[in-house]
Amino acid sequence: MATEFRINGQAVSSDAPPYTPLLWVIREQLKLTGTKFGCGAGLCGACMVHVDGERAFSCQTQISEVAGRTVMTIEGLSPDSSHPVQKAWLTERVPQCGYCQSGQIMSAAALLMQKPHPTRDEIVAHMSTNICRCGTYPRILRAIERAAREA
Amino acid sequence: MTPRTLDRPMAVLSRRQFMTGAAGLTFAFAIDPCDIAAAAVLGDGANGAILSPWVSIARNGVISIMSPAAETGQGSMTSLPLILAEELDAEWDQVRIVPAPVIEKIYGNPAFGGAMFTAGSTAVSAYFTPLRTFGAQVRRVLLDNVSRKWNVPIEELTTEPSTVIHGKSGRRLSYGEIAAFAQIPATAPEIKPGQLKKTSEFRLIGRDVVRVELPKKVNGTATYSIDLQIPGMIYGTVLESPVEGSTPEQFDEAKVKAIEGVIATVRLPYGIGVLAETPWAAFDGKAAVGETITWKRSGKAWGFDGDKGMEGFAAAARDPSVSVSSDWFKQGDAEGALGRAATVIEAEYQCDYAYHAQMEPLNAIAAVSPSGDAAEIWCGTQGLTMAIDTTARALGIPHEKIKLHYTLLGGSFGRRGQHDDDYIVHATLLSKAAGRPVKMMWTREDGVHNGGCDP
Repeated sequence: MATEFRINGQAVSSDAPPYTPLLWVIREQLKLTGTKFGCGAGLCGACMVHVDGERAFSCQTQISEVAGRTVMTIEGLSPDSSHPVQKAWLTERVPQCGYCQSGQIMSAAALLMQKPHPTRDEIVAHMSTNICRCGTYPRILRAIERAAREA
Repeated sequence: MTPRTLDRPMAVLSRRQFMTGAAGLTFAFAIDPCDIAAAAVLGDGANGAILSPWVSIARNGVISIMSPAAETGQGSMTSLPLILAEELDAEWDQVRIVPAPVIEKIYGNPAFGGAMFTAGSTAVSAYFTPLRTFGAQVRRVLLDNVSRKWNVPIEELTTEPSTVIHGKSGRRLSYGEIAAFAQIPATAPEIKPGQLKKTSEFRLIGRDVVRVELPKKVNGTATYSIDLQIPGMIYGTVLESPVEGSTPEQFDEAKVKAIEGVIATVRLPYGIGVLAETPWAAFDGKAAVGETITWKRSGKAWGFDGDKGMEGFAAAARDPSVSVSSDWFKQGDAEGALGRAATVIEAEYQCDYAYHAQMEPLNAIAAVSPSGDAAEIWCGTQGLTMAIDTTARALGIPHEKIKLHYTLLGGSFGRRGQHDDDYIVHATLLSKAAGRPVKMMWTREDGVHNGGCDP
């Protein structure tokens, strides 16, 4: 009872039980470990991916829900860290421990797809799904503003 | 992070002479400059010369510098080698940073009695002078070699990044070129504090240098221990007792084993472990243990009342005659000054226990040998020395039999610097029981449940 879907442009299949969180299939079966396990409860955003172009908590997405759909992880955002959000992230030196940052970047990229020039309040509201324990929030804000400006 | 490159420097070191530096760190100097195999490990390519276990310079100019600290976003992995590179006058773009093997007498943190421990914001301040001195010593060795080769007084030689220059003749030699013929003295040249660079001469310190691991943190390639997979490994979870000192009684083992992918359950002194083929089976197995388990109400913590406990601690802190109250830091005569003061303002401050809440749930991979006489550990930890000692203690074997591969930490805030190293012990005991490598992961709930809170 394999589940078939596309991830970062590749067709893949998983034999995990249908209720298995997409997160664990991505990390441990497909070995795309840029997507992180943080809380397993949709509370921290470390596991954020895109499903058919919309952001989704991969820990709250069952593998059966992505059958026939298209998933993108941080590894698929660009082949060479050239996505405007990644470039802005480096310029603003956002990451500290870095563990939450894949999720932050995926959330930010989803925002700019929907709304290329968000206001500061819109950025704050959108990014409230993602926790950073190191407290890099001011730099995250600056990086998203930069990416919107320079994209 | 390629932990396996750590293997060789340890082996090489037994052939080195040691010299105790003024700062109390042991500074090992290579005695065999022709040790090409060793250079190939530390340098980026063959045919280089090892100048010390802290530094090696390959013929292609790549300068490898050891980083002795855990990296959890505070930047020590970059800043410590940079301090050495400053005095070495190294071209920063040619520096390659290598996580140091766990050899305390060389790489230990002076702030913690020489243990390899990254905590308390001490790394830069404690290593600062030793690393500067080491860098200056290596630079001096390069200058001495060029002085001999060109038969010119060392006073006529200067350096620019990664290059020795003889101003009078206009001749230049790159550090890589020097590495090809360098003779290394048996003891390190003496460098006095006054011979170190003046602050105004710094090329790297004080500049905005990008942390080396930063690019990997924007594309998902930064590797934390939770990201690793070891050949032959299975997954492990542990349901710990609800309070410290409590032990497991009964649970429905058949129900746990009925879950597809669960291999076995493991009875531990403080809980029940579950071994499984997949992480989801391991988590489901742990949940199933929790549904039926009963605990022996041993240990002092049953019925403990946190509010009453806080009152007790506060009372003890107010009473200087109680032994648990002690001065953390003392300078001058505070009591005398207060006695003479015109106005005295009294206040009391309390701090509750707090969950560290590092973003990466605690995890470790352990590979205990089938006979239990050796182990390898992969984990993120602030206490490199402690991780080895704890594992050795858990297995009852000498610490030399433990090999630690440490990774980036997805946050820590002190939680991965605690003496019991509970998460490492979990992985170790599960691997011993399984007879194969085990990747042990806590859920977020486990992290809260298993305490280890920060006062």
